[in-house]
Amino acid sequence: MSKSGGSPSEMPNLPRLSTRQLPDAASAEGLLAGRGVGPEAPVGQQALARLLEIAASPAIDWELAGEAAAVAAFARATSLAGCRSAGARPGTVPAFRSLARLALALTACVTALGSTAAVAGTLPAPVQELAHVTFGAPAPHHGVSVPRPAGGSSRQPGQQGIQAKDQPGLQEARGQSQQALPDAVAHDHQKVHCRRARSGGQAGHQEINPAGRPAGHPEASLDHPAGR
Amino acid sequence: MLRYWDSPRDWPDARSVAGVLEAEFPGVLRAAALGDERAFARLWRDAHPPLLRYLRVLAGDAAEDVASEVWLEVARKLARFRGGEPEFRGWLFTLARRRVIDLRRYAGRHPVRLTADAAELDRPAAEDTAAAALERLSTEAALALIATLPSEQAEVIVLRVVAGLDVGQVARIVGKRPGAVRVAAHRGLRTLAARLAVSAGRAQGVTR
Repeated sequence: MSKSGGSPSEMPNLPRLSTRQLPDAASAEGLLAGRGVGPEAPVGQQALARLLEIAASPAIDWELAGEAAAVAAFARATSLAGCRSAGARPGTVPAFRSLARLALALTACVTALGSTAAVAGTLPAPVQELAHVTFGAPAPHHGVSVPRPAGGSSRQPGQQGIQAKDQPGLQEARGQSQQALPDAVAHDHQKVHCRRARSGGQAGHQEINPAGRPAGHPEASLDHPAGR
Repeated sequence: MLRYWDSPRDWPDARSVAGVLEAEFPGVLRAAALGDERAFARLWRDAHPPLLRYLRVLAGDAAEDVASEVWLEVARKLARFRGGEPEFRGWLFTLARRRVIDLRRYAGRHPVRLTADAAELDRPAAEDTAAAALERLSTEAALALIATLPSEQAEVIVLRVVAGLDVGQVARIVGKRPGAVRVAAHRGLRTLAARLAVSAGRAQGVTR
């Protein structure tokens, strides 16, 4: 073999690579692990081994040229993150943060679920009353579970609600759930409703609106279970 | 000009770019996590060159920008990192890989970007790159030849050879089974060898 710069005529034993010299699995694994190939290996594999070695050769100057900028960015990032607080051990602050995040997430979940339940009127009576006073959720005992009065529907023909008309399955499900209530509960509901009606307040009428609509709203009574 | 058939003693020094701090690593990492800039600089000098080569193969001209983003993320999360030097290396390349995926997604959503088209146009053909790698024997030429492989094959070869990671680490980084990683790497090596053979044959035909 001749050294670089020699003329072609000075390289009579120029090796010719062929597909027969491709590395098998064992030699390929050796090449990948950086073990290279032995001197007895085909020239093609030796060329491949050298190519991989060059690809993994030591760092070139320009590859390390950005060190100052990288360190400056590191200093800015760590100062922003407060990593330089005296005596701080790695992991203590993140552990506290993760606990705080967990507590925050739990609070958000409870709030969301509670709000949904309050709007749906399914909370226990004291809590529902509190929700009603606080942010106008439906009053207790007047949610969608108010039973249908005995003797069938008392809904007027012109009061067919849009929602019920378009969703007969929903209307049927409501009727089934209301009929499934115990009689005692149904009786209590009816008593409360009558008492509030006697007190004559618009407030009483407004409270029993399951959708939280004002009493004067044209659709306020359309979905009212007690009106059926 | 060096050629691959020249005497091995004429070739560039081929020690691995993947630096290893070994026993010093835990102390250096601990100091860097506490904000020591000199310790971070040691980590950076040790791991940046192979990271940059990995990104040059996968992200082309965007390699340095992506590498800067990766190190910024490392700086922010270093205090939470747990593990030794191999785990740190694996974490670093995992962050880099995610950045590359984001970059490709962005390029996919913005196909009219002139820079992407120009990069495709400027990319040399595989045969030309193989010839350049053979003749110049520079690191950049070797990486350019590897970059002509299918992305999956090029990635696992660079992670194995340049980053110095074992099959298991590479499999975790790319999210594949170790067997699939081996197959991809072996196919890539065979393709490289075939391209080298073609280039050598051309050189032989020209020079004779």
